[in-house]
Amino acid sequence: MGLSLSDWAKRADWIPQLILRVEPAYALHRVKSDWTLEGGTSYTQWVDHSELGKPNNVIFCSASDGSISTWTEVGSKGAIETTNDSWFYETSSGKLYFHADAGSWSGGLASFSWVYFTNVNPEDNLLVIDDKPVRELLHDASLPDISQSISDFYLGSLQLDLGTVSLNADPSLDEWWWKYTWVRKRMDALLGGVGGTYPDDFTTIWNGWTGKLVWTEEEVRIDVTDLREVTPFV
Amino acid sequence: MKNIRFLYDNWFDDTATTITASSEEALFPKENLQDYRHKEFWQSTGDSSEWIKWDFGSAKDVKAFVLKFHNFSAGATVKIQANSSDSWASPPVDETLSIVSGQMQKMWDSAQSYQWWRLTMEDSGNPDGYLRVGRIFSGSWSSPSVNFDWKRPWSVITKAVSRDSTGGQRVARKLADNKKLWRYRFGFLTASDVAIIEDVLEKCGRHKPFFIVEDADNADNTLYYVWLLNESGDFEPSDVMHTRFAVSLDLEEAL
Repeated sequence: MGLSLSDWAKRADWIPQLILRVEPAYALHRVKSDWTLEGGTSYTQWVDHSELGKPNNVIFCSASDGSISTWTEVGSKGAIETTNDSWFYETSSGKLYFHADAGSWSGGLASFSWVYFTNVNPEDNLLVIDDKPVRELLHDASLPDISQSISDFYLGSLQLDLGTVSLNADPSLDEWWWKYTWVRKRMDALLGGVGGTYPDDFTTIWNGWTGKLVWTEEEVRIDVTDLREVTPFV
Repeated sequence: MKNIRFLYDNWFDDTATTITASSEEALFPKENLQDYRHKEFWQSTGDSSEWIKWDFGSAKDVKAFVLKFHNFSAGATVKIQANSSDSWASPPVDETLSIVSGQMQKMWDSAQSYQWWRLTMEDSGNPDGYLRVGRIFSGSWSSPSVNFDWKRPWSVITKAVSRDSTGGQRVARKLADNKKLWRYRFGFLTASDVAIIEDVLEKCGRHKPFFIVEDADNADNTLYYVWLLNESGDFEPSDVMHTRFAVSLDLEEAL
């Protein structure tokens, strides 16, 4: 739209749009029985990844020494067979292909994917990000107040207290809360306005990590922790 | 002017209904067409020859078809078709729909009783390169024999926050698009008319939005997707005849 956030906010009909971006993990090694070997191949496995869409990363953790490695995204599923430690997401089918020998598999393998939530998403300006839905599940008061503090003992920087975010409980997503891992995952809040283009017209207002998740009939509450407080967990 | 029509009994949502589509993006599957939230949509992979087809399992009486939320361009050709079998060379129902922004409809005065239905969409000039449809209604409509006496003109809810300085300068912010409210007052309903409204209360209550057409003679402009706000029917005897009944229905636009 060509306006800075502050310029745009001066217009009285500006409708602020918050985007909550969370990056849950899908522990693929825990659903190994669902791996399907692509016909005519020996190492090209796939799993249904249509709920989360294209991952940001696929990460392997060695069972022998705990070392972590980020696998490489390749340009086609055909390239998986001959490329060790590779993956490919097929948009039309929602399948995540990856290179693995299921028979001798050991270790952890997880995909990490952004999912998006917002507070307002009118149909005449419907926001879709990277071909993924932006679900309108944030209530007006669902983002936390932010407070800053400095410990008596210098710990390197300001500590942010980011409270808890809450999403309206969508029954069609119930399965997500146990199927994917939400604890200690990246979670960012971005502010822009309805009609804006993502990401150019949105400003990050905080980067956090997910803490405890509480799931009730009405809402899903996710504690937000400071980026420096946690260790990633799959 | 025709009497108000309630479109709430949607065969499309029935568990016996099987939906297929020419194509779909994995993140926007055809099952989204049964989601009452029209912004949870189906998206095709192409735009030149797409279709959505549904099989009711047996012939059903259909008097209305509504499509809510789409991205069709003005040049699109969109048809609603029906047949007693999965055959589309010359179906007995084959209606071309007018392209209307936001929502489109076709209503029949008599029931079209067919098992197989199909929506065809050709829109090769669509700038998106794909097609989106949010919600489909394919069912009957019911209408009271006596129309509403009056309706409150649209009332609009504006969601905004504001706060004044000591000097009185206001800082304000709009939080969402405006939302419409309606109130329809029925004053002379028969027992059969009451049964229709009670059926709406029973099947949709306050948990499921439905469509109304305020005047079928101007259906494109008086078709609304609404939530019912009433907690109960609260019917009263009519002021002028105690075998007739009165009730007010409060409705809120489903955004």
